[in-house]
Amino acid sequence: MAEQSWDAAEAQASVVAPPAEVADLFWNIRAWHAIWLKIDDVEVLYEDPVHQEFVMGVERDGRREDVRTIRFRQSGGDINFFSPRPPPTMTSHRGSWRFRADPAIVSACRVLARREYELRRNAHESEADFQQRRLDYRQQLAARLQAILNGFAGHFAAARPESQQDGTVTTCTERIVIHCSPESAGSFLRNIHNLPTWTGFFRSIGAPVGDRYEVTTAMGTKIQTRVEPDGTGGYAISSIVGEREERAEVAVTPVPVGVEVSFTVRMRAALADHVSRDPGSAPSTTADIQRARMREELDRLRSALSAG
Amino acid sequence: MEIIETIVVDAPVAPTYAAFADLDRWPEILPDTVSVDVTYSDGYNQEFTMTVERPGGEETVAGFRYCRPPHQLELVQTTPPPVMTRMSGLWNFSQAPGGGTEVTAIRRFTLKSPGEGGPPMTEDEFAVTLRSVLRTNLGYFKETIEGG
Repeated sequence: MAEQSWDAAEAQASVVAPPAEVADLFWNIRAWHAIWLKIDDVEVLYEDPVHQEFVMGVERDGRREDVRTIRFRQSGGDINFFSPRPPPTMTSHRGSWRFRADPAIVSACRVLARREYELRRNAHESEADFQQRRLDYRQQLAARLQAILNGFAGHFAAARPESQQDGTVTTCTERIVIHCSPESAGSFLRNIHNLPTWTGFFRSIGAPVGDRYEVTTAMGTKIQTRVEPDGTGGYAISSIVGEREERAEVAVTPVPVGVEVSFTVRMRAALADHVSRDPGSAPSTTADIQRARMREELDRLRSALSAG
Repeated sequence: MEIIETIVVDAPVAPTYAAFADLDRWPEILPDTVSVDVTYSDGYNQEFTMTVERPGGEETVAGFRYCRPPHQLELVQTTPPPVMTRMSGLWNFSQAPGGGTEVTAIRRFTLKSPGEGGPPMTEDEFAVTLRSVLRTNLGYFKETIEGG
């Protein structure tokens, strides 16, 4: 299929859900944020039932990349795509997601990922170095694809009915000391309009809806959220996502130099323990990645309270 | 709303497909096409803008095509004509039973309401006009391809 200069990387994984259900989630680009944690945000520029254009901000090797992509959905659910604005390391980028029933497992799906791309050659890079980099990059990209597929596999495993899993919950808590008064910390945290200032998930706060606010997430989805005092000086951030309530807790404890703020989220153990193998990085669990993100958010909270 | 028009071109499938796939040739084939700017093409995927003459003046649309040579082209206009909110479509190419290539063009569109800038007619009425334009354009392609 590809011309001589195109390289290709592939990966595949088995997912415990029917192909149509898996294909639907892969098509729902706004939902990726909760599954592939390298995504910073997605802006959907165009969408109809079988075509999409979006710009996705992703983190790769510690740097942010904005990639514009067009996706076409086939009648069986398969997705073909290309990126008129590819990752900066490439001059061209296209690929596919294919969904096949897995004969080995009932109600399971085998997802096949393929990327075709042309690497951008660096100035003054020798032919030998470029060829070696092509080989290395293909391995890295295949590993990254595998990590994405594993993320989806973990998501579906965690989403299975509780009767089919152990129901264990993992708690992720991060703490930070901030030099400010408990009153100013409390005043800032209980104001829902401050959530976009320090969290990565809440993008903007809209109009009130009953006792909640319509909130736009980093993925562009709309959810209904409120901040609830917990009666002990802390707060719960409660969001209605679909038919579920999701909660994060923020506790404020006075300490001699100011306050200690602890931030807690809970996730199903099957998802928390899921291991991603990102190229160039040590394998990390979803919980590890979540904790790193929470530390960044607490740093932003400290900056906001210090500035105030 | 969906409309379908079919024409038979007296030529093999591959060159017939190629004429429709090559957007750079459209201004020489279709008299109302002022210009086409292909901003991305990798042999299978295309991004383009196209300016056409209409009774009210020039209109520029933008979109993407997914090419499945030599049997199908899929189109979506992310910037459709000003009277529409959506426009997408397909060209299918197959060997005609009596020889030549059967080209089937499918268009799916949604009109804006008159208050939003849409035309003062129903989608059914507009479909008649659009079908006529589609038939005419297929005729121009047939003439060009058969003329060699």
